[in-house]
Amino acid sequence: MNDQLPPPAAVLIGAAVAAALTAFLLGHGLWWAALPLGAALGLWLGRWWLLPLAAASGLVGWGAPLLVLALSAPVGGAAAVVGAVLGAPPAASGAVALILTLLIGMLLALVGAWLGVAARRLFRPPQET
Amino acid sequence: MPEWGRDGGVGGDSLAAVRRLLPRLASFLAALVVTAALLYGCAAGVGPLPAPGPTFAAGQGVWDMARGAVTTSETLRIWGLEMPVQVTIDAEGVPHIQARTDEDMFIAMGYLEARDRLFEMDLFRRSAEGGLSQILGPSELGSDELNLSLGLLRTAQQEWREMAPDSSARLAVQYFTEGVNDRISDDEADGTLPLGFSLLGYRPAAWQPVDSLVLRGLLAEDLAYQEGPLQAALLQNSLGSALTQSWFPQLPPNAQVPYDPGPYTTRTLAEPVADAETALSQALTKLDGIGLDGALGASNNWAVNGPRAADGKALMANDPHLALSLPSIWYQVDLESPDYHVAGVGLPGAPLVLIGRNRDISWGATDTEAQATVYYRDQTDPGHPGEYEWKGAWHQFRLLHYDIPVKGQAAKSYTVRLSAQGPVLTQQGETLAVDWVADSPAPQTFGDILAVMRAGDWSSFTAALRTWVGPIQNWVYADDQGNIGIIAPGDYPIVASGNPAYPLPGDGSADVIGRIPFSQVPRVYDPPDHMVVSANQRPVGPAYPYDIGSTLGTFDPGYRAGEITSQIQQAGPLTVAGMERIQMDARDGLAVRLLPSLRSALAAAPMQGDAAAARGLMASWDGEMTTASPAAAIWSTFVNQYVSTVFQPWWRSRDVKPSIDQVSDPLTEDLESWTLHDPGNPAFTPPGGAHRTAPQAMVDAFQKAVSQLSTKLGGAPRTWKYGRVHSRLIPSLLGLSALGYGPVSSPGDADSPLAAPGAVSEHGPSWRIVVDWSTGQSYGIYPGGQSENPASSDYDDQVGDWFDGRLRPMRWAGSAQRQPGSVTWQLVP
Repeated sequence: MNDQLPPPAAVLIGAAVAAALTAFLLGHGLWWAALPLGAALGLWLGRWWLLPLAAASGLVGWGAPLLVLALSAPVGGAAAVVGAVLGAPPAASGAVALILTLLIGMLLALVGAWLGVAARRLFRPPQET
Repeated sequence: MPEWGRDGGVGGDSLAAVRRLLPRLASFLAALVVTAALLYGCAAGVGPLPAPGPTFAAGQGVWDMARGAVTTSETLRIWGLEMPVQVTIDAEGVPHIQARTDEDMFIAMGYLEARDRLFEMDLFRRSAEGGLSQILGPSELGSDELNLSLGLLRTAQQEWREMAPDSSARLAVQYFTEGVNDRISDDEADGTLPLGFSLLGYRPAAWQPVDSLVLRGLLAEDLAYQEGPLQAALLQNSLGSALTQSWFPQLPPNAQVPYDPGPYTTRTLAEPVADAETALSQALTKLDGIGLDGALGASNNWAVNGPRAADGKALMANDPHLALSLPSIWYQVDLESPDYHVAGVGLPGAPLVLIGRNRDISWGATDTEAQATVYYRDQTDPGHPGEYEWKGAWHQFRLLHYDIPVKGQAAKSYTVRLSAQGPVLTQQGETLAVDWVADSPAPQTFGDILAVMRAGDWSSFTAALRTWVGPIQNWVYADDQGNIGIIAPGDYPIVASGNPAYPLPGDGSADVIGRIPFSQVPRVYDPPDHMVVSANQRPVGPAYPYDIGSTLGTFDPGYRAGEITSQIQQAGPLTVAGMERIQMDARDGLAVRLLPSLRSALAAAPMQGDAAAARGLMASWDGEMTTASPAAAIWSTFVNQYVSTVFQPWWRSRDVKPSIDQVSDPLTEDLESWTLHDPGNPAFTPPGGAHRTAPQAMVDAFQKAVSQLSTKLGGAPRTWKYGRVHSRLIPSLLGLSALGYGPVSSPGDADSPLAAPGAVSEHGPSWRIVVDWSTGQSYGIYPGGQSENPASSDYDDQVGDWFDGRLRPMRWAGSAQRQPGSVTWQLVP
């Protein structure tokens, strides 16, 4: 690892790959996959200000399967049921369930990225000028 | 990295390096801690909440229900099938299975039931087999211990061992099991396991044949496990023998409408049962139990023919009253194979149609509520630890040890103690054992119902039920030839001595020695008045030569039966719509009988204000418990107050247990009888109080009722609509209010054919069916939907029609295929 930031295109591709892997592994029951993938992003990039990118990869990684499912199944109806079970008011029950779900994916990726950045900065601190 | 000084100290540069390192280390450790906490929180959940990670995993977990809510035409490869099976799933989600072999039909049935009700099936088997604590935690230990004691699982295991290898019932269960397991495998592979599994965080174990057989025990427990003798013993202790026998007599004091009024043949020797010691398959209960009482089961069924049917043939109706839930206790199917052509409903998890019709006959059931539970006081002695005296010798209790898995805790060890008569009830003060209807293995039970499903006339129908053990039911019958009937076969216990309405000595002198011969069980066939009615009333008249239960904890007082009989008599030739109207009849049968006396008592009493206004409302009321009726609200409050006004002083003065509420049915029968025929009965005068008669007690109770409603609802009596004090609730099996229905204002009460007992009623017509043999059409509805998936349109799509009393056509496969919205599955080997 060196301290040079990869080109922006590579960064974006890396985040997209992480999101795709998150979605793929989620489909195989590995709901926690967003966390190590976020950590890998963090280790690779090593910049605090790129944490939102990792969070976004988690969000997309968890959002995409829902979007695909919605093409063939009543995700909205299921969301309303889940929201109602959680005690959300009827008008917002679907939104609550969807937000909660996406929040979990985002949090896993974000915290993983934090761990990755912190690890990188611990073991390979940025050079001082 | 920091550099350490040679002398072990830290130099100036090193100190600076450490200072630079510390925040990075702190950040790393903080990230590590947060990561661990997040992972743990997501994986383990907090408190009773499910683990959010797997539960909310996008496209998985709870989102599986979206995938499972979609039904499209498709071809499915099913392991175990011999030949292709066609399944038409109609617009209501009812599967119509057309198979070329019986075995394939049962595989498809298992597959379809698991597709729609797997979680419910799993809850049923766990409930019966003592496995609820494993998924729901220690709060369910009482239920698990009780059911392990009562021996539902032991009985089912023994039944499976005893079923003949080539019997149709064994094969049906076996192939049904294959179908269920096929679906579990598919659900696992496709990620379509029902929501309940995600929320509770577990996966279903493979289905076993005993999981189906154990449902008989679960049903028997619901319908036929009785506490009457225990209540009788407690009443005798506090109230004394004379009053107990007077207020809770062997035969009901009020007017009854038995469907088998006699004449009867002379009592003959009872059919023998196996020796109690070897017939063990027992259970244990605790005195304070957990609310089991067969009296909760209530239902209506009737049939008419000849001049009472519009087209001169036969019409049959049935509505079993059970605890309501979403999903429903019933699953509707239409089955077609070489030996079967049947449509109706059964319990999810069993390959049976319990209530339905085939091409020739239709059948339904109400709970007979005859005494089927006998309690024994076993003789123990500190000098003989672990033993009881039976037939002059000391015997060891048989001990059975269980480890009950408990969610979040270590498994709980539990020991069941069995005596010769059955499971031991309690050893606090005395040792009570219980002999009840589901004690004895009845491996023929499933075969009996399968034979009913194949029956073609009254003769084959009754022959199918000849070996039926229980729960004892009033099986109503009608056929395409215009015949009607009711028969109530089963194991009515006959004891060697003593009155089984009370606990009997356990020394062997009062053991069950036989059952009422099949030829003498209650029955009626093509009676001259062209109607048969059962609504849990005593099915026979006072001359019946066998004791089938006292007034305590057994039969219904007969108000629903009386009202249905009266409606049929007044209706003229009935059509399907007429049968439907009687099912929705909200007239209170007790009110019909007592209103003249009440009006007369009120007319003679000086009243003003709300009481006078309320009296005015009662003057023109017809007994209909409709939601808009203020008189219905006043009546329902008055009846409770009348029972309480008369009996509470006695209960208080003698510290009587059980509570009035627990024994209110026989007390209401007493009040009805005394009010009409013995208004000066001493019971109306409170102990130590001034003399009082029935009319005076009624006026007292009425004024208390008015005062109670005024406090509760305020305003003028005309605004006290019944719907403000009475509603229906259909709770979800998961106990989540968001997945239930209601409460909504609702008509009916415990004494109307449209049964809705309690202020917030969770009990009532769990399925309504009407079969019209003039057209061959049948109609049904239940409060729920075919699917347990809350995201499915079939989750609660029948509830609205059920509330409104509208039945839906029960289609055969051909008609279903033409119905818009139906889909077809090809199941192939």
